[in-house]
Amino acid sequence: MSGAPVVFIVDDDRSVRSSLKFLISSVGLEVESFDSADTFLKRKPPDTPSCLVPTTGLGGEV
Amino acid sequence: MTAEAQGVGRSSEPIDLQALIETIPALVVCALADGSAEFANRAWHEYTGCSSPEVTGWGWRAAIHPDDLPKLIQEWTVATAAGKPFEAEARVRRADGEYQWFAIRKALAVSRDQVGKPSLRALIACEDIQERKRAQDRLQQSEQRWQTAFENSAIGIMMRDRADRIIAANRAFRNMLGYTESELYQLCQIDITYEEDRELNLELIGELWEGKRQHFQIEKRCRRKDGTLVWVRNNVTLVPGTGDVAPFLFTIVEDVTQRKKEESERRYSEEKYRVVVEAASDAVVCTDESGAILLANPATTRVFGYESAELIGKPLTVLMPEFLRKLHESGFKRYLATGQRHINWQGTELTGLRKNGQEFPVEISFGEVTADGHRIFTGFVRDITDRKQAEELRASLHAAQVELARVSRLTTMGELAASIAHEVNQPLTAVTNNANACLRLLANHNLAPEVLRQALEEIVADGTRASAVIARIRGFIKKTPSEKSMVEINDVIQEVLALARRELSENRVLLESQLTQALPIVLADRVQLQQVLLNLIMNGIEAMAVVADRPRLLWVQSQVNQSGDVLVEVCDSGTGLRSEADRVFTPFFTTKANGMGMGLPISRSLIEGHGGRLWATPNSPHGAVFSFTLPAAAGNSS
Repeated sequence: MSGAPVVFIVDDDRSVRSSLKFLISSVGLEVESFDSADTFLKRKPPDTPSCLVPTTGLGGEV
Repeated sequence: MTAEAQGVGRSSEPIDLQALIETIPALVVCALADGSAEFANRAWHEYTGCSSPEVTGWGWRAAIHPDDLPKLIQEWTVATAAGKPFEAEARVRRADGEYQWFAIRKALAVSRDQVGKPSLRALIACEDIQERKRAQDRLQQSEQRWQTAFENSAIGIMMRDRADRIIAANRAFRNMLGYTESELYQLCQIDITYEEDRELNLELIGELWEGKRQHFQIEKRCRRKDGTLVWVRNNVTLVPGTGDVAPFLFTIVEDVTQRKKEESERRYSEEKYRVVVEAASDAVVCTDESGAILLANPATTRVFGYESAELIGKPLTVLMPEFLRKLHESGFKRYLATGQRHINWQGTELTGLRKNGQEFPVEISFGEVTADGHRIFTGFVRDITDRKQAEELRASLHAAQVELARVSRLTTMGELAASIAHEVNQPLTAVTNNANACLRLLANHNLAPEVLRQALEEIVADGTRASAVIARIRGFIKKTPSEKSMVEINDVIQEVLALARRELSENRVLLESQLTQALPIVLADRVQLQQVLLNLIMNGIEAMAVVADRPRLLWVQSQVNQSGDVLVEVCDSGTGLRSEADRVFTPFFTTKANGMGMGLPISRSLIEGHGGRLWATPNSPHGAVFSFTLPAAAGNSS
């Protein structure tokens, strides 16, 4: 993983997720998106400064 | 020679018998005792045209008709042998060959020869009886004709004497009564008259004999030989006696049983109808062709306020409000002229006018009969004020129910507001994001056409998605009249699940649905079915809100039950109904803190309005099952 910061998006709505990813990447940031908290938590924790944009009312075993 | 014969000769001048005979105007043949002729007088010769030689001896007999001669000779012989006077009738030939009837008699006379010796002669005198004979024939023929007519007459004829004994009865009469001729002659007329009719009959007969009347007519019952009764009409005339014939009663007897039966049936029928009309709760009004009222039954008074008597002769239009009168008159005129009806004659709803000026709704039926060439119209008028009021009440009640259902939908929608707002907000957020990203890239001159195209496609898709949500909501809360159409229940379930999707996920409810394919179509109001389903699903979600120790599971299922109806079940794993199972359908009963208690009662009335049922049962091991049925629409292939 490079040293560039990553913005993590967790949203169960596909449109919201992909549009947000498009918006954030339009300012030149690295973006990774997840459709649930579970899939996000399974990812290896990032070693660079990062930002998490979660949505409200996420389902799953939180 | 007897002393007497000699005496005749002696006591007077010798008689020239021939000269004497010549003076007799009748035809006379002078014969010997054995009947052989000596001579005939001038009358004979003139009549028969025979000369003297043709007469003498047995020649005179040639003038007698050959058919009558043997009888004549025989009677002559018998009378002569017995010493009795001879008299017979026979036809004698005239000079022109015609035969005429004569009465032929024999007389004895004494003749003297030239020396004065007397001898006995037989004078055969023929008296012309042609006219009498003809009259007799005529009488006989007339008698025969009369007898034949009497016997064969289709109408019964009977005669009886002063003592009321039957002295003659023709075949028609005998057949009518079932007696033979000889049996009848043993009876008095009154014997065969029905007991109850005797008194009047005897009274009239008495008046005839007393000369108070010449004739009477009576309708009475007679008893046949077999005991059954026959209605007769008797025309009885007193025939005055002549010298030889005692006066008698001449009776023409007509069987009127059939007519009496018909009369009685008609009377019965008329009476029956009269009773019906009198007792009818509807006004019954008859009019003639001019529209004038001929009859109004007692109910007319109750319905219109007029006494029956004050309506007679009035035009039918007095019972109608002004605006209907012209219409009625022209329509009635057209009907009389063309037979074309301007209104339905069976149960048309119109407006009536009471005597007090009040207008009221009526239902009218018409009938027409033709009697004696006159057309009579009968109107049956029912006051339907009560029915109309009930209908209006029902309509307003229905409107209230529809409105209540809509309010309930709005309430449900209010409960869903948060999740629906979110549902709309998602695509709007996506649209904004996509647009902002494009603007930023555009500002940096970094917007590749391919990227823009993709973003715009996303924007279109999200815009469409947002408007679909709004359209669903609008359809659900729109104020529309109930409208039934062919509905596939699975489609309705899918639509409702889409509406509730967010609510389900926000409440962490797992949805399972098992929808049987190819279910029968139902005839239903789509929005009402959506409302019921949404109500049941929202109830299920709420019932599981406090459940933390087990999955919150909502199970929606559609299938066909044993009766062929569509069965929909909504099961939850919530707190269950326990003792409230029945009460949940009672209006204003609620287990929820914010509930109105109207959802289930309204749902039940909506389903029942579709001919279905809605009920609740406990689920196992937890929760409740709400089930409803809908009858399959007619015309389903199954």
